[in-house]
Amino acid sequence: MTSLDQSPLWRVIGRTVRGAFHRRQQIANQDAIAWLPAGGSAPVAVVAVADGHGSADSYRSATGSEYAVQTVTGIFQEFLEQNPQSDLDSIERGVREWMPKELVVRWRGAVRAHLAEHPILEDRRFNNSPFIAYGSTILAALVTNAFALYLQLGDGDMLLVSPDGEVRRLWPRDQRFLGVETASLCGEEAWREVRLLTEPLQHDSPQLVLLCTDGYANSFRDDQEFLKAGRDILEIIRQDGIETVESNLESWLLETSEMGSGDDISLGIICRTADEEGRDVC
Amino acid sequence: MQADGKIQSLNNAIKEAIPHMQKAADENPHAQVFVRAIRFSDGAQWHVPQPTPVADFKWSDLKAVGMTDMGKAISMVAEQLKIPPMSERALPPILVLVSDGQPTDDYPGAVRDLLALPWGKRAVRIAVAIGEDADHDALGLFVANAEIPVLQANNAETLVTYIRWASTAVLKAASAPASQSNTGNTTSLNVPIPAPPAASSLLSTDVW
Repeated sequence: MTSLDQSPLWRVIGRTVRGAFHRRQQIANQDAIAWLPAGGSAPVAVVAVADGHGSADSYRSATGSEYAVQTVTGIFQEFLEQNPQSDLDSIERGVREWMPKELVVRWRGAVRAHLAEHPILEDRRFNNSPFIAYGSTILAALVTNAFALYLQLGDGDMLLVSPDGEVRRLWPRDQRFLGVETASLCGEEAWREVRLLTEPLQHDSPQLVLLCTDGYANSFRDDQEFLKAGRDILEIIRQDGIETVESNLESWLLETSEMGSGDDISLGIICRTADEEGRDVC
Repeated sequence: MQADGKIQSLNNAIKEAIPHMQKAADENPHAQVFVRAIRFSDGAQWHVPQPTPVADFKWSDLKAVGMTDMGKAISMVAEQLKIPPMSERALPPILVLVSDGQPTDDYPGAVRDLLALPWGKRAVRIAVAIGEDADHDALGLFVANAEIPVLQANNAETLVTYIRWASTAVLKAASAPASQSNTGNTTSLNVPIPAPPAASSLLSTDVW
């Protein structure tokens, strides 16, 4: 059995920035981010980032990505409330059976409500699926003191950084897609594209969980450089404090986009407040 | 108009397009644009052998000689679109096929192999037919997209306009960082190609 005791374990920070290319083109940031708790530390933490496609067909994707992060954080909270003391097998089964379809159904419901107030008039591109106008990816993580739940639909990266700085990418790049292609909440049977993982959290659980939209990884010369960023962030948190990362994050991401992909970048960071020795980290 | 005149017009069109291509690439410093070229006649050879940053790209004139071994040229392009040397994270390549004749080797087989490659079918493929003798069916096989017509250039001005369009408007569209929803079943990358300039609005002088 798992239990959610009240000891503070997790802290979350994050930022989303408009990409350099979008600033030049005067296009709004198409990414979105949401996290809980809003400040301080808590025994349960959630972070979600979403990348609205930003293409001409997905011209409402800033709204679509905002709905995506709000939908998934709501679902995570609801799931926790309904499963306060379940064993991990039950949690995993419940997540797999319920969550993918629920995510897509609720996101589409939010889109339909928006469409009702802001209809798309006379545009043949959207005759078959108006959801394309709102196309977005979604990545989200939920951590408690007992387990972690990770969810991803579409591109972007989720990195787990161990206390000794080892970085593990949770899911490899989807080999079916090349370049800027991605699975999306707007796709047919999008729920089939949802990747889920439930893991028990023990003493060797990650020190950091990083979620980022693809504009971040695409700004690095290669994958090794990108993965190194996870270790670097942990080092800065340890040496200078998480407040330093939080106050500099926006300018770092802006510079990363400017020098790199030009794409919007969102980065959410969950930090375990103490290391395996019980020493404060963040 | 003899073949020499057409090929010289192509040389001029490419040279004329280079500064526009460089300017278009400058406008998006987040995309690194490289250029290569293959010439084909009796066989095919790299005319610009290395991927060349667009800022350093120069054009040395082609000469009209021999046959039209387009299939060999397509096969050489296909070799370079495999992963590696291509990266999975790359922006879609733009392939521009320009010809005034009919293929004289196994062209359909080469195109089939190209389109079987992940990056081959996702490449933006543009074809320009120079003069009335060009084989539209063959070029259409390469484009393989009902929404993108084979461009017909019957005079030097039209050729300049099409080459410039492919080097600028298409380049900009293909190098934007917008994501494209794909269920995994789509056979081509949905880069929104701007409409080519209408031939009827172009000046006509010496008609090929």
